[in-house]
Amino acid sequence: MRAILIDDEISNLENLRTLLEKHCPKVTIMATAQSVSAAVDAIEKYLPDLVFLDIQMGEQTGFDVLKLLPRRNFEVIFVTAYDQYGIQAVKFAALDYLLKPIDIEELINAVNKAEYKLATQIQTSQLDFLLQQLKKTDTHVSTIAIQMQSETRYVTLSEIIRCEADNTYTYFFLANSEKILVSKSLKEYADLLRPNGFLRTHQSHLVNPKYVKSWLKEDGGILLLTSGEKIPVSKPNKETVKQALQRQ
Amino acid sequence: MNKNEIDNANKYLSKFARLTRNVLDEKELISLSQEKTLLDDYLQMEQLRFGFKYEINHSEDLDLENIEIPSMLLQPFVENAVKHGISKKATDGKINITFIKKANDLALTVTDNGNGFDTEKKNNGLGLLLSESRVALLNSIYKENRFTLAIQSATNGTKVSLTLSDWL
Repeated sequence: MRAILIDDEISNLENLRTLLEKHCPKVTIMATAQSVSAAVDAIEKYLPDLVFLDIQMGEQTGFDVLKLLPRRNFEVIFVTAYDQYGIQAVKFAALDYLLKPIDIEELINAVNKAEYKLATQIQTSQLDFLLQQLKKTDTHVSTIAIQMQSETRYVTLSEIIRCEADNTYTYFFLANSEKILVSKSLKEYADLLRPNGFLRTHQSHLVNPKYVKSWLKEDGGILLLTSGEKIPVSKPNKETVKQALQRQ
Repeated sequence: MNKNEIDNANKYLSKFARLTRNVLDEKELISLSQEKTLLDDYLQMEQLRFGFKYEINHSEDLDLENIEIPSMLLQPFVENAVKHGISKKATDGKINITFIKKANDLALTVTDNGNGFDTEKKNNGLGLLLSESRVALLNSIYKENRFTLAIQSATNGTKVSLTLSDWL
């Protein structure tokens, strides 16, 4: 894989180079860049397969690099020291990211995932989706990217009825009766979707309150959905679910 | 780092960062698997200093990925186990952590083979006092669920059990 490393700090570039040379022999480093303009030039010159992109670069951001490129046909692994800025948008776009200081195992995993995507030639528009999300002035998110085995689906939050855990996998149940399986845990989606009002009713269930029809008192607490499905509410979650539904 | 053990240095630095981020993060709830990773990170770092042994075990039928608990619940007890429990025993020290499913209850335990302490004595340190207030606070938030803290200590070790009734 032909790679370009982008970071405004030289020591970070050196550190990443050392880790890649030692642990990811399939990655060939074509160039490194320390500014947005140098990054754009390097990408247009070398047409890399993979770009390691620092998010915060002085006054500018790694997202600016993407905005300036007419074609974005490469895989990106974001690298960031901050757990906050832009990371939420990256998660909603189901893109890969590493937190500094870089953990070797996480690095190897991310590189393997990129290699798989390149090998299977999955064409995704996740970067376009990410830039659109970042453009929105309000923080309200209405769509989420779901990375499936061979495609990326964009689902609006209002069409998600509920999610159900199957170990480290999650099933999405959509309003058009579709059922999608994703290889991420329900916990990850709960963390992403809770700020958007989704209710964690049970260790295995996440529900969109929009589709709640009523609260049944049987078995200590059950939600009846407009789809007719009954979803259990476990005891630890009872109070929060009740309060959230009353606020609606 | 000074011995040029670069991979090890990297490993511990990234673990330390993950632990710190978790402490500073405002997340109220974390999954049991995240809790396990954090305790693992912490114990591996302390292991470098004291060389004790430790194990983290759980019931087979616990869904670690999806069961959530309040964050930093066991950390203070594990810190006590290291600091007051096994730090003087060097490589003979042993810490055992378990997550057990008992019907609908979740039982979390931290056991060490240190010299123990007098559980009746009032001035047992701030950590324990803070943990007791935390448990009281959790009991006022989760009304129907009782968090029960039990500490048994003898000269051959200490066992802390925290039971989350009707949690599963």
